[in-house]
Amino acid sequence: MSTIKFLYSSKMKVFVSFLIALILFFLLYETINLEQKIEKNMLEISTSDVFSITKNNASEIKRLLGVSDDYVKDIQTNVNLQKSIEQKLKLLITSNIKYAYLLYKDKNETFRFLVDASNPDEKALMNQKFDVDSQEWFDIYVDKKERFIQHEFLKSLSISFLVPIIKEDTVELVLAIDFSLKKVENINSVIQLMQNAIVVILAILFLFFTVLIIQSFNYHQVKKTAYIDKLTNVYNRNYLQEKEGSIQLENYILGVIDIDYFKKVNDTYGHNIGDLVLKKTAGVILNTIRSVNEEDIVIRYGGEEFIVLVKKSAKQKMKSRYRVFNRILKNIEQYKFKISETEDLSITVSIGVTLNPNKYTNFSEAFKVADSALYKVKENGRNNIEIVE
Amino acid sequence: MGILMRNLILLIVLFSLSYSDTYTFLVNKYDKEMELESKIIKKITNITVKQKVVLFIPKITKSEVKFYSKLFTLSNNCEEANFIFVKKNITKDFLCKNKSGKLYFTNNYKKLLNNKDYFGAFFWSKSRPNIVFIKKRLDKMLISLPNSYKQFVEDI
Repeated sequence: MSTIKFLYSSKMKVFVSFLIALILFFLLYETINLEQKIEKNMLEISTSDVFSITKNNASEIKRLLGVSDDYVKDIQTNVNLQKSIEQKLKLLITSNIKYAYLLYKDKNETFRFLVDASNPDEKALMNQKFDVDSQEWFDIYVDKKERFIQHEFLKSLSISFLVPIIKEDTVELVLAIDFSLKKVENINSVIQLMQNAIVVILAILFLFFTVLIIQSFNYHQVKKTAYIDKLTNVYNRNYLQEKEGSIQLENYILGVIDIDYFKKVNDTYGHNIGDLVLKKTAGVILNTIRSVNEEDIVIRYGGEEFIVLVKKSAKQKMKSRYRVFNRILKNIEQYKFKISETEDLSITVSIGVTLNPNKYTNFSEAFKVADSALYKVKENGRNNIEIVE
Repeated sequence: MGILMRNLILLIVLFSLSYSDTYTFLVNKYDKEMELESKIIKKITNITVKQKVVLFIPKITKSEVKFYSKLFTLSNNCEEANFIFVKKNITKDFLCKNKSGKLYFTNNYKKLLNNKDYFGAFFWSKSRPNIVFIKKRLDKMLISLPNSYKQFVEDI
């Protein structure tokens, strides 16, 4: 009974909600990681061809420069060479590649334009200074390897790809291309679609879990109502029929309680008072057993008859096991049932107890034994307890 | 019904949040560039103008006023200003008759090269912020820049 109570307790609901929230957060975290991995892979896949073409272009420019002693001076002084290189760079410009240009670094470590394939409005002049935005531009002169730079802070560029043009193991020129945001936006739009799908799935999962929790809570509330006797607020016979097979008889002492002369109460005082007596008797039983063990079970078996299953404790001695029934007997006997402003009614009960119901094949058999013990009490004058081992 | 409505609202909120970034992106781009530009001009005026800076931007727009007014005292009249930042194509009528004691700055590299009135320029080259000062014009105007600005000085 305490396990069931815990399962439907507020603490359990909070725990389950927290667990679901944790799972959803984990899924969201994994989704973000997945997005980053997909973005990186898609970027690599979609730009790898462009990188190869740019490297080929750099090789072509190197071939154009031939056996020149000074690449920079030759380009600065040879207009035809400038035009040829510009034609090559223009081939790189697409809807995704915004700029393609050739730079050199002067003796003051300043980058300057040599050739720029941009449209006239944005075209840089020969030797125009270019303020670079990353240390990577300088690093290319050290490791002499091509590289791409991802721009975090530039608002209209996504990535740049730099290719060194080397002469006698020295980087002489840098061929640079800048990708517009369009490339990343296209990739992001695909990722956005995936993200939306994942968010919808997560939302549906969240919705599903929420509905599941609410529905299961409602179901158990309805089921609980169906198992509770409305008059006495203890379990009814439906509960016994449902749980009979699952009750671990070895853990309980089985008692059957019957109100003495209940028919007389009904006939003398009417059904309303009869109902009041039933309600108050159940209340006394519940109050008495709750002071012993919350796992005890009280069932209104029918009419004025109650079944009480008292949980055994390993520490309890045999005698103390049925003391609770003595207390029920005494408490009911001493209870004053107020039937009017001036009149109280005293009633008694008869109790049949079987200390080891597990000795019998099933619950019904154990119940029959306790009921027989109750019958003996009734025969011997009522208001007493008969115990069967 | 109530639960369904709550979940529907949750779904709408989730969708709105997932799209909100794209919605604000274009606004952000323009504002950020303008904000950066105004801060750079502020730094340049701090090292080049000794008195209180009164800035004049010919044909100034509302969004420029929004950012520049936070950092500068703006003037509608060239004669009252001591720092003039020319950003757009303008006729001579917009500029001061009396040029002495005023510094001219532009956002166009070609204008900087062609007009000796300008001592420097801030402009976007390949979508990157670039600054250029002309050494001879700085010397002529007796402007001395800190060492950290030497990388922007061109001896043309």
